[in-house]
Amino acid sequence: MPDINKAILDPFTPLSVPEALMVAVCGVVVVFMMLAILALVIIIISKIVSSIEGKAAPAAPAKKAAPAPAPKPAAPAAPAVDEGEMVAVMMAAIAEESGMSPNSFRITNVTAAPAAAPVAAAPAAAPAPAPAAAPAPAPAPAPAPAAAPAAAPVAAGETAVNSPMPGNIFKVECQVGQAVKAGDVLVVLEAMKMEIEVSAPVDGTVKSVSAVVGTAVNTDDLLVTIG
Amino acid sequence: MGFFGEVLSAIFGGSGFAALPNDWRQVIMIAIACLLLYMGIGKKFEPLLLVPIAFGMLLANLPLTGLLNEPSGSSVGFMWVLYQGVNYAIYPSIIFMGIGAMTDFGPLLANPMSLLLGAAAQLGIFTAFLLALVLGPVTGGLISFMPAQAAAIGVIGGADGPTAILTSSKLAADLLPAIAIAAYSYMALIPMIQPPIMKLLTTKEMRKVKMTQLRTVSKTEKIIFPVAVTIFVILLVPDTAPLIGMLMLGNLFRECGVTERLSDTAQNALINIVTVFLGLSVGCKAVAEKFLTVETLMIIGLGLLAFIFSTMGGLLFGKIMCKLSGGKINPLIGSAGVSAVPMAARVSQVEGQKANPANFLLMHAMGPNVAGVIGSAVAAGFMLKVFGG
Repeated sequence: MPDINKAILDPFTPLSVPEALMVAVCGVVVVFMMLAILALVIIIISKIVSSIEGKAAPAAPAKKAAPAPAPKPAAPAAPAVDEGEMVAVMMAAIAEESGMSPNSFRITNVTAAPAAAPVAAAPAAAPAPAPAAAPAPAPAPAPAPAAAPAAAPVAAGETAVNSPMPGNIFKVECQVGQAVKAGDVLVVLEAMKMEIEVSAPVDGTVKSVSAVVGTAVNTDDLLVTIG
Repeated sequence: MGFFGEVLSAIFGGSGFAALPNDWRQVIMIAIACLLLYMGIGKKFEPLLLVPIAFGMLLANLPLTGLLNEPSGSSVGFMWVLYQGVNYAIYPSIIFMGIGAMTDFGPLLANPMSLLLGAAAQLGIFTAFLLALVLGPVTGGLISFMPAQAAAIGVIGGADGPTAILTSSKLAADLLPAIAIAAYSYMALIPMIQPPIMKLLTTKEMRKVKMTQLRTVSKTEKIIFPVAVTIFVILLVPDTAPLIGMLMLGNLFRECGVTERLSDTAQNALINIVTVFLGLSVGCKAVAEKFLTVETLMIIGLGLLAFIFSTMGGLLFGKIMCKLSGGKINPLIGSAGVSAVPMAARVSQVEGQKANPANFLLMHAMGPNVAGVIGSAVAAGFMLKVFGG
């Protein structure tokens, strides 16, 4: 039961109309005020964190921008630079170990530290299942000539369908070569226990499907290309 | 043989069957409990809550059980013990820890302005409070709620079960079962309550608005957030320490990356255990003489209005933000400011995608949605402060 001594207004006697209105209006104002202050706190935290992380930036981007190098069989062997060279060497080593011909894959653009190697070393499935294959306009450490095509995930005339939000691929409802119309469902994502349909933005033919059922994707990861 | 007859009549005379006809209302309550069980099991209305609540109600209305007896000598009613967790607001706080562990505050950090939508969607709390007060004069004193009771009823509009239970346990313990049942049933009904209002208050053009992707929030920010909010909010309003403190602790478990096991326990095992206790204790308070009243019906009605007004508040503020931002914000995310996480955000997603298949509002709506949790806790704190809960 409410304690009358702690209360600002008597909890048991009826309020007059102005009193009741005052409580309601004050309440709305207090809620807005508190949440506005909280918003301010969040903005300040973000500013501080980003300025701290900004200082550490010179080291960070190299680590952050670690896109799985898209294996493009058609491209000429990469003019590998710096770490790229290292990765190439490592990949060759891995390939040797796993009994693959070193020519079975080539590197076009490598910005990644060795950590990326295992990803790239699994190119058995040509359209790499690694979801990171898509976006990451990779800030290549050296402007290698081959970097340009790799940065653009889809060829001219093709439309990339990217993931609108973080989630899991629940269903893939299209196949390479299938003709689709704008509005057809291509992929069903699962996020927050909810199925979300991602539909084709344009008419066309499905050129590639990067989405793999059961894998997690992030915002802007490539799901499907339509040409 | 005479002795055997005596024993039999003693057993049946002392049984619940003999006591049942004394109060016909208990029979009705048992029927209501069975109906609620059916709604939970058959219709899947928030079954995780409704089943324990309904079962508690069933137990409480069987006569002669003594489940609710206060301690006397060495005996105490089983339900009385469980109810202390509600009485002293232990359960809602622990549930908040689970909610914190389940909630990703990322969308809120990426777009702090959505906190204002979470504030706007508390409008229903205050509207329902006023409506509950007006009932007295309007019905000529037939049904009148005291200010403290009206405040507890209003908090249903926050669409936050634990907060509503906490407030009413402090301000209007008699109304607790009705308030809890109203709050949880309407939360289950959000996908039916909200869409008509959303269509009514927004134009097709507005619903089509696509929002730009949210920035990614760094791990550091997500870790600092719960700590900073705890320090700041609890310094500002010390009374909110149990709720906000537990919410943020749960979130810290989730985000800090070294307490996976605690996060997992908080959002699964622990919250389930406490939900069972909470449901049972709320249900067992629904005894006939307190539940079978016109007030209960009024609370159910006012609760619905509170939900509607909260949705409207969020949507209208969403429209203002849409105008101010030059059409960059889809007003549909406003209705997600009612804190039913994540149901309200899902409704925004569904309605947005109906207007424009390429529209994905889920993550944008999660911002106001989690802001709503904080907003309704603040509104409840305000009510407690004013009426001395």
